Amino acid sequence: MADKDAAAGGHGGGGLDPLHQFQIHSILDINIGGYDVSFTNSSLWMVIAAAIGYLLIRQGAGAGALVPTRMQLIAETLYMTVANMVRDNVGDAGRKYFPFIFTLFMFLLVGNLVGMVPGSFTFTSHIAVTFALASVIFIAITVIGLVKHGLKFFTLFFPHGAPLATAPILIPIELISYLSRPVSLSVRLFANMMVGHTLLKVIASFAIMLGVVGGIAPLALLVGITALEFLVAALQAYVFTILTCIYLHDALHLH
Amino acid sequence: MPQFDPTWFASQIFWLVLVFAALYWLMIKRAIPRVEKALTARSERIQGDLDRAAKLQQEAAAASEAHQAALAKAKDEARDILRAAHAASQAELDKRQEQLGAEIAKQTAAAESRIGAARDAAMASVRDIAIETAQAVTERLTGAAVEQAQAAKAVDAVLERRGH
Repeated sequence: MADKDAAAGGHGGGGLDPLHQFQIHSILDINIGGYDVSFTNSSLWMVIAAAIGYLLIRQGAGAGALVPTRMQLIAETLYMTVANMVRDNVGDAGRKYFPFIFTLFMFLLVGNLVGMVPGSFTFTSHIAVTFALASVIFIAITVIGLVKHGLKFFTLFFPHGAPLATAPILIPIELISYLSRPVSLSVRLFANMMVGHTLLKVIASFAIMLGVVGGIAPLALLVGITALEFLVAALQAYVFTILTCIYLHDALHLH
Repeated sequence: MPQFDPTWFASQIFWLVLVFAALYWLMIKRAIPRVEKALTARSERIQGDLDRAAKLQQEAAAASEAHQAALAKAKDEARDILRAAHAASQAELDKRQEQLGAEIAKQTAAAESRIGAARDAAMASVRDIAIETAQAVTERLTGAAVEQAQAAKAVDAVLERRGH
């Protein structure tokens, strides 16, 4: 009992608060033009994720060996995964968007995975980050579609071959579904990451509260859910990227 | 929830744009070209090897074809030589047989003419003997001598009647 209290108290204010892990705090105060753009723990982990993602590919491919080394194989597998994803979902027209999609995938994948390190910060569990990413992608894809197809782009909101009489129903539905894309894209990632991490923290709290003997069950559950969270981390990065590919395909080929 | 605290929105978006742009720049300038270089080199090497293998296979097929053609030609030549030799030996054989046949015919003719002469001679003597015999038989039976010319006439008549 005394142990439990000590453990709970030892973490200070945030102790067993499952949402404490999402708290942002400034590391270096910066203010540009009246906006607070301080370098925070979130920014720090973005930099770490980007650095790992970059080095993984850069150093992995560094050898450039004919028979790949282990690291090279990782880099090439990641490259081929995204290259195939772009080719299958966007087609040849998507080749020039590949670097952006690859960067997006690496940033989200490593971001999600470094979030699994205890004590780290998961920047993808913040709606501000995911919504900003999704909005940029949404606007960019809409602009690409408009530039490529001009006013014909708006036929995207009316499925080809549908009876004209259904237009008053179909067009609003298609329009809403199109406009909700950035929301669903960003909320899916943010919610998955946040819920997973919260769940881990809640179950970990149970393990601490129930003590050495009673805590074994939640601890075993925690181990299982941690494995699941690694899967979710990779899967959500994949889902975000593949949906971007599908939206890009829609804009380039209009159904 | 700390996620909906607008205090850090500006900072979050600012650093996201900065970090993402930096990562994008590094990826397109440094990381992606390296991976592409390795992948291209590998696929070129594999393609080159495959092309070389295909070329070698073609060469082998061509060599095999040439070999087959040479073999067929040699077989034809051998057959021709055999046929020519056969024809030559057949001609020789025919010639010899003809020569032999001619010689045999010549010898046969000679023998036949000899036999004919001998028979004629024999037939002639038969007539003389018959005349003498007729004279002798007539003289003995009748006691009258028959002139040789008369006997010869009778013998000739008999011989003529019998087809000689």
